[in-house]
Amino acid sequence: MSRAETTARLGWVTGVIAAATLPHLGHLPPWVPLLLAACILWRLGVATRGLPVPPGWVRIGLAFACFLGVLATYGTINGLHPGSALLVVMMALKLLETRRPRDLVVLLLIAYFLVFAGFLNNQSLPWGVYLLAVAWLTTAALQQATRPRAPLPAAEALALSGRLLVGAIPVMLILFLLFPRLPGPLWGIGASPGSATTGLSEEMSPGDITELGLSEELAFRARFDTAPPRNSELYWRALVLDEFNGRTWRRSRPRSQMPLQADQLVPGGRVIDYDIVIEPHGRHWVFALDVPVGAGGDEVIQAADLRLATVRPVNERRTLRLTSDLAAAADLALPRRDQEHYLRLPPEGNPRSRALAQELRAGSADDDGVIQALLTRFRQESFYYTLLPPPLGRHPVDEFLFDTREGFCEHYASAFATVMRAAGIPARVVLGYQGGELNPLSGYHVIRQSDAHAWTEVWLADQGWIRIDPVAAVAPYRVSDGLMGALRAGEARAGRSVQAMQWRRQAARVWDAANTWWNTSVVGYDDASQRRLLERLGFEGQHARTLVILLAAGLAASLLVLALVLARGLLPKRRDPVVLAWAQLCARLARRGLPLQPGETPRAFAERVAAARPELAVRTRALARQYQQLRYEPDPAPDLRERFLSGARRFRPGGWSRAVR
Amino acid sequence: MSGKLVAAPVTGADTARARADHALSAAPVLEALDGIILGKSRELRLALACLLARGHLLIEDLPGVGKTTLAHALARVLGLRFQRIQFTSDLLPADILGVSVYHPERRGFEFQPGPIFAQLVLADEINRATPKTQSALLEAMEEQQVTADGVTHPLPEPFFVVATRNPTEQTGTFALPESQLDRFLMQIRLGYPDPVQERALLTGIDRRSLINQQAATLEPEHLRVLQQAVPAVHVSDALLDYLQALLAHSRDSRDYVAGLSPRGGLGLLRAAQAWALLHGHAGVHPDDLQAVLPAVVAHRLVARAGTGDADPGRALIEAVPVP
Repeated sequence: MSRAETTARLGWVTGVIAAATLPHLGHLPPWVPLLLAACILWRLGVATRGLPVPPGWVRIGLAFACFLGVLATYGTINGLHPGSALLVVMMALKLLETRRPRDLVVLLLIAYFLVFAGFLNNQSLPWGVYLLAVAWLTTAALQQATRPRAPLPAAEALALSGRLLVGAIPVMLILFLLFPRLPGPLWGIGASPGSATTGLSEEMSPGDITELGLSEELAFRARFDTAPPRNSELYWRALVLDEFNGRTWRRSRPRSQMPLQADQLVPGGRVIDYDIVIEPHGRHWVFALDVPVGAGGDEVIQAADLRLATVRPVNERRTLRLTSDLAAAADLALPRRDQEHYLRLPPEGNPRSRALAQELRAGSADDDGVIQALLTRFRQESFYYTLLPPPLGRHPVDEFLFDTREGFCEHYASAFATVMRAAGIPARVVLGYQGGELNPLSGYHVIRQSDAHAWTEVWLADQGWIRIDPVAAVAPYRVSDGLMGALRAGEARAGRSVQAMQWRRQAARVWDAANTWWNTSVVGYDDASQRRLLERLGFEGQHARTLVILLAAGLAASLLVLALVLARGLLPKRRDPVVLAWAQLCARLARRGLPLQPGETPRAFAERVAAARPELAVRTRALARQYQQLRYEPDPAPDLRERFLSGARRFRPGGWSRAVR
Repeated sequence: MSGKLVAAPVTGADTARARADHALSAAPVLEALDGIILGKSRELRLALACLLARGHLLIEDLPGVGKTTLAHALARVLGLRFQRIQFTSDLLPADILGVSVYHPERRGFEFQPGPIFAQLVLADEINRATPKTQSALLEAMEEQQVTADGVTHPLPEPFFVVATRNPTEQTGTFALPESQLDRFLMQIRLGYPDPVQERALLTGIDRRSLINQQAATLEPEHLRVLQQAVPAVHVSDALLDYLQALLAHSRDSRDYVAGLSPRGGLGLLRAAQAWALLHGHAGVHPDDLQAVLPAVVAHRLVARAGTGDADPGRALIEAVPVP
């Protein structure tokens, strides 16, 4: 092997090593990639500049030191991150002592492992595409490293390994779809709880949601079975806050933990079924349209304040099947004790708001009048909806209502609920999301963190809990068009071409649809999806057995097809009907005891048949003559082909022949 | 049937008629030969096909089975100038090719053509001559010319060598090397006649006088036309597939010491074309190929010891299915 060839192979392998390590850079301690880079450079130096290979004791010492290093960094060598760090270290050190192609193969096998670990680390679509590309590259490098002749040009190597991988696709699909799946997420191994906790928090102070206002991060997706409700009806309930300390709304734990009683809900007849796909947030919240009335499976429970919660925290992306009744009424009869709970305010603070409540109460005939009066006040006085509200001081509600009058949804919700409570109307704050953007490509509504919202619920005798969204009174666009609509109405943004925005929007939709598909159909393909697939294919019961049989049959079939495709080059070209007709004729005679002898020509065969079966002599000889003319002579008569084909197809040797050789 | 036919030039537009003419013109030749050499019609057709394919013929057999008679009869029937060279161990190349002789009156050398300057040369018992003499003949055969003292003398057209050899087990012989054997298109055996033919031979007229009485049945010009028609005989892709399968098997099989050479494959094709021409086929049939194959491969394929097959050609035919 020439020096240039060795270097070319080494180049492929080091490229693959670097590419396979890249996804792990985020969690590797910095010394590991540095070590790898140093080893790569040294090894290339050995190949091209004649640097000495480090002696054995240095390599062994380094290996020991690196092992200790990993142990010291992580405190363990178990787990995804220490494991991949060890793999990278092993690769780096192995690289120093590569001599034969076999050593390169070992390195490439480690690279495959790293690619796999990369999937465990992060299952997003972009990384998925990247890791597939690295797997392709690794395959090309493997083929280059083990090629007995000189390495191919890069494009050819990639084309060849690409063809290999394309050939593997059927097997991959069958294994993916049919290999028995463990219940629960395989991918969840790497996700650390609490690593994804952006989004709502369990309490609300002025300014909390504002932080989310500009986040385009995905919160969850939803897909309705039927036509989706209007945007202004899309109130996704996540949390209910019922305790107020003058500044912050909280959830009073004992009350909200109680399960929902069956008699709390009165159906309203606008039932909607839908799926939601929740991005991991590390909590128990489920986002359900108001009012959720049912959740499939034991995974989700509904609490007395109507919100849904999962039993296990949502640490991985999870798909839930939910049912909501948009017109359901809740808590028509609220016990006295509960009414008092929802009226509770801190003993002091926000005096002006309390005074306002008394004023409204005095000026209105009933509860409904008080609500309308406050909403009218929001609508008619100069309240502004803004993402940049001024900071508030000791009496936040007072300051907001009477001084700044600029705020985000939490300001309005908090103020509204406070005034209601002060006016003697039971009220609570609901946290969740409002609206969402339908992606027509995937059919999913996409709900982002910027859709986070807070609204209020008031309790009226005989009507139960009524949703009041004070923001709808101030900035109705917020509710009908989403945040951007509201902001454009208030804070006109100049200088951005509408067309460019539409184009970006469309691109974002395509990207989102691809991600949705990837997350729900690929990463989210679990034992339940597998079960559904089998049922759709018409297999009932005994899933394990069906899977094994289907798996074996599918693999055998796809390998057979692959073998046939590969063998096609070795087999004769598609057979001429003339040849086929002759072969069938021979087969018919063979069944009657006259098989074609090895090396026998058509004429010789016809003569033998004529000797054994004189009654067939004329026809057989004529057919053999025609066959020879068609096959071996130039320019056969125009109708000869048809005559031969019809004659050969009609040829039926009856009876049994005594064998004549 | 007329004894002589006017040479019909082969044209693409008229190949069917030309083909019929070729077959017809060959028929009286074969008829005449059959009358002289009894019971060897297959060998005679092979010999004629070999000549039409511009190959040379090697006959391997015991003395006295009619090798010389066959060569002589062929020359007579085809109207070719005939020369017989008896190879002996002291025969020198110049005895075959000719020598330059000094002519004092002209004060110069003049080339005296040897016996090879004939249209049909019978090289009798070629394996009794020394390798040097053997190769002189074989080189002349291959190149269709003789070079002496820097001057090239073309051999006459058509030029056909029938060489005979005794089975190599006999004493006083020099075996022909394989590379030299390859220059012969075919090798046939005559073998003993069967009893009926032998009786006819014993009671009939002397073969020699029969030959002397035989008139030529074909004009030399016509023979040339037939020779030119041989490479034009249609060969279909299917037949080429078959031929290549045969060649591939001879090379891949472990039954043979060595496979057929490309020259052997080409010879096989030419011989099959000549055979198809003789039988009036519009294209080469697998039957034509199979008919000439044993003779074409007889001296080229050597069965590996222990395979126990006396006729490598027959074994090859039976090993490869006709496509």
